[in-house]
Amino acid sequence: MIESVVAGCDTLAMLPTGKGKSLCYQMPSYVLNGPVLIVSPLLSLMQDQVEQLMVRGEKRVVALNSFLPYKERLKAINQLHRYRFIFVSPEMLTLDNVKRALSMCSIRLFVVDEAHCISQWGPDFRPDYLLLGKVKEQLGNPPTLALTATATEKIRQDIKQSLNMIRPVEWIYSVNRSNISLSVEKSKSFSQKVKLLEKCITSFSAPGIVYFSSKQLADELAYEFHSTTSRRIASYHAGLDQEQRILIQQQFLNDQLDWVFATSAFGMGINKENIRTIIHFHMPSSMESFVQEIGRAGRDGQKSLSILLYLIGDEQIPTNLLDLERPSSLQVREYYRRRESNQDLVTVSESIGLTEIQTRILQHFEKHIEKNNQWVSEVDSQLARRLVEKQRKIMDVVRFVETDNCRRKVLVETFSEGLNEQDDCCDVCGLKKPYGEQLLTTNNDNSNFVSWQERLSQLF
Amino acid sequence: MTYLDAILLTCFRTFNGDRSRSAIYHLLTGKKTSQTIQDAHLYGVSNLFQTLPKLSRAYFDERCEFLIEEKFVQELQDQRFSITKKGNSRLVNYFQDHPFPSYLNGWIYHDRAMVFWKRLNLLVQSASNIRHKEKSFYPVQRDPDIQRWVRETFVKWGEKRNKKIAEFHQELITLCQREDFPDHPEFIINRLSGYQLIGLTIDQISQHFQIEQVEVHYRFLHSLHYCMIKIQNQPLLYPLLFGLLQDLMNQSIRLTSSTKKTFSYIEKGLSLTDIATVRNLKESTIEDHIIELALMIPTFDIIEFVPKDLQDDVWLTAKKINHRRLREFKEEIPAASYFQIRLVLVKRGREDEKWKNYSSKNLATDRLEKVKRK
Repeated sequence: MIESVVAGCDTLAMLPTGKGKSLCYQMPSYVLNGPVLIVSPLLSLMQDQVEQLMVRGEKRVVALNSFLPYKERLKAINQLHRYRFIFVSPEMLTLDNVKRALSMCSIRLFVVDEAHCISQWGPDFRPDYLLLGKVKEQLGNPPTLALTATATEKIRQDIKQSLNMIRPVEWIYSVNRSNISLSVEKSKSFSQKVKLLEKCITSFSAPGIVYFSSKQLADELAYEFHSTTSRRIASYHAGLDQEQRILIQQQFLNDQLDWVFATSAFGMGINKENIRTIIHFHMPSSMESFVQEIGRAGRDGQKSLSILLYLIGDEQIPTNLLDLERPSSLQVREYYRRRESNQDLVTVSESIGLTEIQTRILQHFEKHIEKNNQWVSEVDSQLARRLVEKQRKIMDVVRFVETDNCRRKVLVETFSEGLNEQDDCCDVCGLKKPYGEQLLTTNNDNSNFVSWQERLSQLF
Repeated sequence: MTYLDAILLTCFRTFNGDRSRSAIYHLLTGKKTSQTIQDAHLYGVSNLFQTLPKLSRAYFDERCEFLIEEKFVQELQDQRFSITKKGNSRLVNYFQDHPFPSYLNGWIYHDRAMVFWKRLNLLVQSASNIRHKEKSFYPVQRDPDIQRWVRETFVKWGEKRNKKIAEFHQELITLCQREDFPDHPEFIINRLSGYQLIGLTIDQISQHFQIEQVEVHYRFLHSLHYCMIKIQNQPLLYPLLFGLLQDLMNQSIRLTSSTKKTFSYIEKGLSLTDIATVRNLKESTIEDHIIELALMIPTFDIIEFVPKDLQDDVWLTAKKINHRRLREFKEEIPAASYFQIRLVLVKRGREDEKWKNYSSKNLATDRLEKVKRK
């Protein structure tokens, strides 16, 4: 694959996280001996990649994003030609001075990370990504590398089209990770599910991640089980400030924690080889998310386990979230009216009570659908189609939960793939070893709080 | 009652019904407006300025409602509350078994303390890794300014790096061992990271001590401010630690940009009314700027705005009536405008000592020791 990139071909690569994705653009940069532009949608992910490059001794790395204070950013933009790896968030690419500076750099390779965000049908649609085709053109159409971990056939088509990729070489790795056993555990009540979780985290191999869709529940259960079990547990979500988030990530990397109770904000860009177990306390909203999340386990190739805890009605949680995400017809109409009378975006979204996501969606439609008296109904029907599509994705997950067939087969079929039989496949096929007997890798008590004197002598 | 409740009660007690409860919110989150800055100084609670920058309005209101429900405060009118007898005795009791943050000085340290902490944090992490011959690690601070500062420090230490690291370690021990260290040094030290050892989160510290996160935050901040005071007072005893805050303390006064403009006109000799005309602003806005200047610049002379005799009158009255309601002043000295009264109070009555008096009244050292031993 790296060869096709070096040869200057447009390349679409779908490869599971942890398969050296970043190598795909690092190698070519040294071979082509020129700067690489990497568009990355997630700030934390970008930061992680920058740090990984720096840790390897590459100093000519810069990340243009909203984390960077304004002055620093200006300085970086003025010296852009000095860098070999330029990471940008899609928002930054809408700024004229950034575009101008980039067009002077003779970018040798245009990399779009998490390229599935470009597709309206993907779970993480980012409207700003739709502009990337144009940006690419302004940069003189450099060879393009689109990277994604999971994308259905339809989404892959979208990516190629939006990025104007010319006869792209495609490298599609299977979404199947044979070293991860799959299982689903159903509960009859919420309290039973909580008890089941307790059993899981005390008997299955750590380190592991438990995914929740609610920050509050992640906090509460982490607190409870940290004090009532012998496992070291912390919670992680976007509500924490940056310093605390970094500490949790690094404690986890450093095996100072057994379990992280997290929302989907956790895990992207975390290079931890020995994660043994991924538990979903709530089901994810698509099989794409599911594959990404369980894919964080077993990067060292060792046996690992995915457990999805299911309570009847759980699919309502992502469905309700969808409802919240969708602006109502009334809001769409008001948005149109107020924007037409030149009200600024912040005032509009505040006065008609739009969430951040809703604002982003409407802003996107404003840019891409011609404004006339059809606009409101056109937006409405597109929103409705989006909703149906997303509900379908939730039903994919429900099918995975409810199936009487091999779960692995259901999983790969979502991505139009086939499968060979294997051992330790899933709970339906039968897991050879009762998985409750896996060995614990860590066994610690919680009383690792030491005096300041001792802490200082540990540090120095 | 939570730690935050006690802090809020302290504010209610100090404002004594003169200010709405929003004023307390702005004080704790550190809103940089003339009104908040004036309140902080006039009432002697500048120590609390911006000590909870991330406090949400919803949570703040929730805690206020609790205080009202418990009848710890009572509403006078228009969101202005005074502390009740019940509230007062609860407050005094509370700080008998919780450390009172007597060294806290939000006004002086709010942003400096954060820079100091980040530098300390990253410097220790780097030093620890160097000591263990580890060249690459993930920094716990991502702020490029902080990273640059730490890099420069190691360049400066140069060949003597290892010796300096040992000395730095010793300075930290000396500081934490001080007899008058106001709390457990663990609130700071155990949050530090190093070679293959990542510091504890606020949450983890709160679980260990079985106290809430706001209390952890305040006790951390309190100890941090204490350290900064001691380092600043004895730079020869803590030369390397002093290096972490030397430039911060030398930084010139930061005024809001609008106030800066007004200041330049005053220096050119324009009158208040002229400045308002030239700048096309209300006179009251310019007045706020002048009050900010009087607060921020010790040498700022207010004689242009209040004649010396009137200044003395206001100040005498201030001592006499011992109350901060402007209306009462005005009744005593009809010759002075509200602006002039405020200006004199700000200039002469910077009551930063009030906070310390409160703490010494309510906190004998032996109580403090009791808390520390717990």
